[in-house]
Amino acid sequence: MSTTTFIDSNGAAIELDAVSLRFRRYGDSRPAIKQAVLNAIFSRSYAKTRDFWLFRDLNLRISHGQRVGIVGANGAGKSTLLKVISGIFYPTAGRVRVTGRIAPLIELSAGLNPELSGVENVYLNGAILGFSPAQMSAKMERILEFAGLEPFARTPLKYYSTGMLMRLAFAIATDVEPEILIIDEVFATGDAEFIQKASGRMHKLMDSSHIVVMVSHDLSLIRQFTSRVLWIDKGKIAADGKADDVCEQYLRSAQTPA
Amino acid sequence: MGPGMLERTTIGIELVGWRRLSPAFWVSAIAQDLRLVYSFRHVLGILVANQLKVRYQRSALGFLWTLINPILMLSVLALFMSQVLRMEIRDYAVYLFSGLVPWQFFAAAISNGSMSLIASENLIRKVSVPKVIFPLAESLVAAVNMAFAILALAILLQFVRPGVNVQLALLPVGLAMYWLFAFGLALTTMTLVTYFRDCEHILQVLLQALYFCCPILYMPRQVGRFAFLLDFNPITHFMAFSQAAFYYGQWPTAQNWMIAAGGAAASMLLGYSVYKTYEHDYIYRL
Repeated sequence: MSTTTFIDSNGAAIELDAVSLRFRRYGDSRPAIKQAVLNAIFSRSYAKTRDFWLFRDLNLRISHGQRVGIVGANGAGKSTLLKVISGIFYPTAGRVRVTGRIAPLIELSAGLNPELSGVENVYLNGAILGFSPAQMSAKMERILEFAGLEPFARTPLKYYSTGMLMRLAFAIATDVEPEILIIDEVFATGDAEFIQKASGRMHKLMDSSHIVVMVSHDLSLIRQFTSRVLWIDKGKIAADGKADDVCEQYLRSAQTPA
Repeated sequence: MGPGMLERTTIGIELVGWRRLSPAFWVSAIAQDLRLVYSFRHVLGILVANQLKVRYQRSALGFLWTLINPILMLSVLALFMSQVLRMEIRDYAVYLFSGLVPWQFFAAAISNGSMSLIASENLIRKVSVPKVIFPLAESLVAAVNMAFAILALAILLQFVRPGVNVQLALLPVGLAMYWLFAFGLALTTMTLVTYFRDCEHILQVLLQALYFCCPILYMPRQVGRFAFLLDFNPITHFMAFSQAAFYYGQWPTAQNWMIAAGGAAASMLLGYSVYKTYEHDYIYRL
């Protein structure tokens, strides 16, 4: 159940109280009637073992002004944590409270529809972030210019290259001035020139955002952008502290496998 | 610029469990969902607009297809039916379309609505968005298409059988109930199809069967002693409104009203409670 209310306070915040997430894995085989029937006959014992708890009573508080990096091995739950914060996954138990408008850059191409043109995607993405078409029209030129996509504005996205897609997604997501910025491996692709342009904008955006939470495997990026780092290991917060300290700890553990 | 500061509290799914039993839960759930849909109205608008654009803007003849399509279809069907079943062609044309247009709405709302979550998988997995807007968009698209088709129908009918029945005044009420019926049912079938992909194929077959169980191609009196069976099909009673307006020129019966209103309410009740039960679980099934 989610409650969305407008408040006029300026303090952005993310609070996770005893959040547990039971992850459902339905596996490679598509869920089928056969399985449901088997479950009913054998009183659900058939597929029960495939559920597992990714988070158990996770507590986390990120307050106004913090820049938080999240590190951890693949599959540790970093991206899932971001998805819980941004409301894509609902916690199985516990409570998530988020104050402030979130721009979830969870995989940059998230809200892009390949059948639609660049311009139409700007409207769609803006709408997802809560902006009316009129408000997006005002930003349109700036977004297309930043992405360097003016000549392809009317071309359906399915004809774009990966780099073009990234640039467009980045330009939209960073133009909307979110209060809470959630970033998942943003700098994965793009040419050198764009990365430079993007990092300049990223700096600016991070300065203006109230809260930044970013996931990256690139520790130098984490150190550069964040001051607080969470190390997530198997769904638990293994360490939480100053960026340099936690990165150091994480690196040491990675070098000496347990 | 943009919406103001938002506060969102997400309570664990397990905590919600027992609250389902209280009416207060449903009142607040409906209020919340309405607010949520309102805050995503721009997304909804864009989803609907894009679908309509594909249909009306990207073809050379655009809106004209809504007129041409029925004429072509009618020519084929009417020719066949009038020759084989010896029906009066003018009358038959009017009858056929007053049933066929509402049927096409229903079929589109159900089959596209059922697939809507699967079709928007990418978005749902990566952005926090109320799932209900996808089937809602599909049923709105179907409704807009139906409105255009009815407009086209009304224009065409002026050549076949000039004049307007007063029963046309009731059509919006009938169609509103019909829309609720179709949308509620789409929420249910969407859940079934998302969980059990096999249902997509079963659904198509059922729709096909249902098509022949509706008084569209034939009139109730033509099926003889089986005519009473048509009364068990709620769609018969929704169609009664458009057939009353365009064909019969008689008021819908009390039975029509009761079954249409009851069907709409029951369908929404079922669809919405199914949706609320699986709302946060769909994502694991995509």
